Amino acid sequence: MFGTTLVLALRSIRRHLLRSFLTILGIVIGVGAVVTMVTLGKATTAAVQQQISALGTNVLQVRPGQGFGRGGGGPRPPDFKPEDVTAIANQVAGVTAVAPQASATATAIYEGANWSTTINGTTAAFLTVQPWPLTAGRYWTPAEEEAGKAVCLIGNTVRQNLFRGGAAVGTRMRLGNISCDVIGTLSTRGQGGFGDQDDVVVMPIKAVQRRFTGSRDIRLMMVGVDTAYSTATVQAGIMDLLRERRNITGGKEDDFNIFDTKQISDTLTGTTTLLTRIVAAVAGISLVVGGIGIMNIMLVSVTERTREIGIRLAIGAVAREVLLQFLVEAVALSCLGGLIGLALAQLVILALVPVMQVPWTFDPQINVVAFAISAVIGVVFGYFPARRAAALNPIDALRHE
Amino acid sequence: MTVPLISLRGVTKVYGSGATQFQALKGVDLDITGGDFVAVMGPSGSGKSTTMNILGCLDMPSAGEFTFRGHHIETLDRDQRALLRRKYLGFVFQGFNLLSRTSALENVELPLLYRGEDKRSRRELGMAALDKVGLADWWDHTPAELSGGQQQRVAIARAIVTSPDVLLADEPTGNLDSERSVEIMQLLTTLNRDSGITVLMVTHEPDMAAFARTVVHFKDGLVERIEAQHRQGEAVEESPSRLREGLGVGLSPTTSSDTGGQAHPQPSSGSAVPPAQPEQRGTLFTPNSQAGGE
Repeated sequence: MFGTTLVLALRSIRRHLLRSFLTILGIVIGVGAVVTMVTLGKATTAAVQQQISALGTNVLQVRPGQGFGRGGGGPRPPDFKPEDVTAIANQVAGVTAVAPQASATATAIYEGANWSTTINGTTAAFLTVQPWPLTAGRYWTPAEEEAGKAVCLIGNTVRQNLFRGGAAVGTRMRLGNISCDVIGTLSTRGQGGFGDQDDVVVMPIKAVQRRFTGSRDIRLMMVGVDTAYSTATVQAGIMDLLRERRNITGGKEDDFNIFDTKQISDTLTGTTTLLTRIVAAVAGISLVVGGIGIMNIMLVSVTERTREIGIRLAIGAVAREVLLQFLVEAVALSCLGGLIGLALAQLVILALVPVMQVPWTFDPQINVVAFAISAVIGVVFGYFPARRAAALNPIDALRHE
Repeated sequence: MTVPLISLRGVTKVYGSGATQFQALKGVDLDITGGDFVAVMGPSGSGKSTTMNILGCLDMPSAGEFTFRGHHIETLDRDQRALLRRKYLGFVFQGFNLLSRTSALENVELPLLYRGEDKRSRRELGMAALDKVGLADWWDHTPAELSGGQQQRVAIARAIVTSPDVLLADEPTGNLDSERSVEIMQLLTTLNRDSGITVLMVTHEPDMAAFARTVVHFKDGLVERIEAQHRQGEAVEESPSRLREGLGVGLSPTTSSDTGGQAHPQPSSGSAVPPAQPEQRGTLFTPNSQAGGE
């Protein structure tokens, strides 16, 4: 009996191609919107995660003060000293390396081109914490680091703006008030969570301290965490050590903060996931509207086909068969709409991926779910018109004009 | 003479209720023998269509008994009646009632679909039925591409494709000109004679009723009178012998409104005086339409 009704339903759809198409338009758009939105949302989340992982995973950032700001009144918390770096590296379990950072801003000049950039003074540990390959040249030697020589690695943005794509390694450029040998160029990292990561000049920390900041103070320590340890454990160890070293006792608050990049990653991922869900919910509403569209057309169809129903009943269709016919027709229509919607979504995603600069992804789960929902919508919104058709009195139906 | 194929006893039909109540049938008694060709006539509102709807198992009597092949139909539910229509009945309507945008063959195959026949046998039976009505060459034409007479022939093919016991035709020639009408009537006559299908036909045209063997006249919700007649070109002697044997006198054209007091269901035969018509052939009908509907 089911095979028969399926044949009948498909025949009916085929006989009214235009009307069938208009009927399923809502479902097509609904399914297409849901799949597109969820897929692109997930791709965006993946892109964000990728950018954050560029900051380094399993990295703790230790800064003086509370939070990112220096806080309101009160004495300024002291910066860290090189001894703090050594202490953390030697005394806290699970730490792979500690990279101190001293930053300054200066204008780099080379053959008439100038570019204002950030100078990042650090040690070789920086590369252990966050590997950063070179495209050309070399890293500085331990001797150069110890002596604080004016050698530098330049980020890709600096290279582009100062050297116009020409050879940079081996040249000598001006950086603020000093001359500096360019010994290597860093590979591209792209946009991070906090701006252009390639707009940077990296130098031995002693050089930066001596020539730019004029002190041994360290504003930031990047702590690499062994993957065998949880960042929370290491974070607690650093906290205890620094409180001791900075004479913070009892209930006094820390005058430094430890930031886990994983937390940023989780927060941002959570935000994009939430946004994806909201957009998907809005798209889901259009799916329901599409279902109501099917119900409308099916109701009209039942009225318009009253005579046909009368004929079927007269020649011996039982009510159940008429109900099933219209129900199957509605489900077939909505499933067809779902399939077209899925195809449409793939086209839209292919078109939008380059524009939105997110990686192309195919998520089987959302495709299956969206299709299943379209089928369910066919059942739910097809049932009422179908029941109405089945309940018709054959005599009245045959007289219907 | 055995049990009649169809038998109505004291059948009434009331529409509506209260002040708007309307009694369409006031106690109809009617027997129809298998293989007969019956024309039902009467003015509008006489109850002939209501009777046809009940005979077609499309409608239920308000009271009274309706037996088909000895089974009580008035006890069947909606789906059981549908299955009975599917198995034993075929319908032809005044307005043809074919599915539009659907080929003649698919229209004819429709009842077979509900019978669960497979594609091949649907096609064979469908083509055979179209062949019987002379439209085998037109199988792939939609109703819009067919003339009225052709459409009605497709409808007849659809009605007979399941080899039903009874063919119910509601004013089958009502929408056709006289020439097409005669063709349709000849087709029905042939089917009746060759395939043995019992034909019940509502008509208001005496010319069409002339093709029937038996004519039932309705008036005011009752069977007014029943006449048996020669079919055109058919001698009395050719009529089945059973028709002449016994039981015959059942016909009581006593438009018995006069005898109104009688209780029904009234046993059919015996009481009434057979009419003097020479072509009277017996017990096909036991009208006894009581003036039952007080």
